[in-house]
Amino acid sequence: MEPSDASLAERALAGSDDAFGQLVTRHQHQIYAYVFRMIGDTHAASDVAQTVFVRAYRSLPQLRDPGKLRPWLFAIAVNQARNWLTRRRPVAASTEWADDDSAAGQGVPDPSLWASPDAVYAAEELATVIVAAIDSLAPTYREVAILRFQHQMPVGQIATALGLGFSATESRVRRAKALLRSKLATVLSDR
Amino acid sequence: MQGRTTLGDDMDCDWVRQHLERILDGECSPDTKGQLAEHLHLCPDCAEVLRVAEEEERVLRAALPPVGVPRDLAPEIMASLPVAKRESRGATRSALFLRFAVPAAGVAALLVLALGLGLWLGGDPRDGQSRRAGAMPNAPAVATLSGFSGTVSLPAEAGAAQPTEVGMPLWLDAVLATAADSAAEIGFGGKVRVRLDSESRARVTSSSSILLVSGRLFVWVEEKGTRFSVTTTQAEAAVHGTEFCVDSRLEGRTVLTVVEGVVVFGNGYGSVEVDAGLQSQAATGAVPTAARPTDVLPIVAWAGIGEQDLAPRIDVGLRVRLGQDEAPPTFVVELDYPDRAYVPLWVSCEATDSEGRIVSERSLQASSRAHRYRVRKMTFPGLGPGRYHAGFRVVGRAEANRRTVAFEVK
Repeated sequence: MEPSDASLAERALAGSDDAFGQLVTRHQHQIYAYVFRMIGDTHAASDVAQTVFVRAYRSLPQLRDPGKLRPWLFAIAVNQARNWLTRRRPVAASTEWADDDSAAGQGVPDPSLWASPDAVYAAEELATVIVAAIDSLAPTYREVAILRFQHQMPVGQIATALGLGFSATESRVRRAKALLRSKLATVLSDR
Repeated sequence: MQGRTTLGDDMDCDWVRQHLERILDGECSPDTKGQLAEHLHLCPDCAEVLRVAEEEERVLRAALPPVGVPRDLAPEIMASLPVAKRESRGATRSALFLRFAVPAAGVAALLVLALGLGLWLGGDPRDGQSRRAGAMPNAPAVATLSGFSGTVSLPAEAGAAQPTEVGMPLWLDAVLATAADSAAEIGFGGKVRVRLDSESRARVTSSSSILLVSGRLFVWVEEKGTRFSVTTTQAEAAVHGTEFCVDSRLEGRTVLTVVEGVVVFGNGYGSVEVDAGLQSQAATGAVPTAARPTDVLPIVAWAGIGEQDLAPRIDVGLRVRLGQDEAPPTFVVELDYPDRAYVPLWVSCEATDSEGRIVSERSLQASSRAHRYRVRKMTFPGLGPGRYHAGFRVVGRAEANRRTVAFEVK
């Protein structure tokens, strides 16, 4: 049986680089995937993901609940990706995203949109459309969408990663979905 | 149709729509789940909303393709951990602080900190106290004057310099001053050596710290794991098993240069990590500047560090080519590394105009870590039309590979 994150984190905290190495091996795919989806550059994603683990290594003594290592790692990844975006994104781009918030409704899922999209569109084509829609979200909603759909996180874990309360996170997930629906409705209806 | 079915006191259609996410996650209490099941049984609208939400969730989750992770990522992370580990055990923070870490393969490291001399022209506010304490034989001897050349004085309270001799003890708060022709070396228990440069003044503040009043000093921490810090009224350079230099001769700013290892350089306004071969500057009231490549050889020469004390240089292959038909012109920088452990490296890039003036400077992080081969792209944004030359060189403990490429901005 593989050791739990909690036991590996405790061993790493006690000075075991081998234990930390196992945690890196276990979580590198998810952390890299999150960072890559957020910033869209493979070299930069590699550097940022590396920084995430180095910061985690330094900050292990501050990990209060070793059982929540995964959302804690994601919290570091969220911050590092935000830092990268803040440094690299041109100002003009962020003004484009600013419209997102006003477009976000509080609607419920649209039955016509989700009736049977995978029957109408080839899986790869649908994936391309959805990835593009997520990429076009403002970072605030993109990080929620990636954590929710790429990493299959429940609201509680997303809340930990974002440093938000449960209700605020639930609201943000709802708005991210509403934005996606809005963007996807336009794209899918044109096809 | 928007349902308004109400069940009990706290379950209605609005509640269902507002809390779809926690319903999808199953993050409801058993009581709530029971009420929800009952509500859905009575409200076909909400049942349909939930069904579509589940379908939406399924499609979105299934649509995102997996992301492949670079094969070298885990080795790179692990290769960089020893640096992080030492940093994490570094110094406590003060108004301005430094923490230093030696790379896994490195033996020695050096940093230079230059502090606004103007701040100390009026003298160290604690100097009077230091003279008394330094002259107090009952205080514990915390260091030794292990060597000197030229005229070195131990200013006493009355102003008359005490005679100095090699091997004499230095008590807590002893002040040491050098003249234009002199230098001194202070030993701290065989673990740390401090070289005080000419026209410098420093005070021994404990067995593991020294206050630099003015001038410049160099510190060797000879036993790994030993903590040592250099403090000024404005700054602290604290280390954990390395070698570094503090320089207080420049006006109005603090300059940090790192030859090897990594330094966290910061103050109350923020901090930056400064890698080997880079320099950052800090002024009072502002976050230190982003680290930029610099030539560390003059510092190495000044400090008299032998090549044997530094990690061996590595020979990094550097190739630069100009991308085709890209605007602005984009350079592809290719780096080949030998098979060895982490060595922090950077590529410094300068664009010069037809008259040889530097019109743009950039840098690329090129740390080899576990890479054997790396490609980075860079541009010089904002250049006006004209012909230019782009100069590239590897900065750090690497052979001085340089490449120059001519290019034109139309």
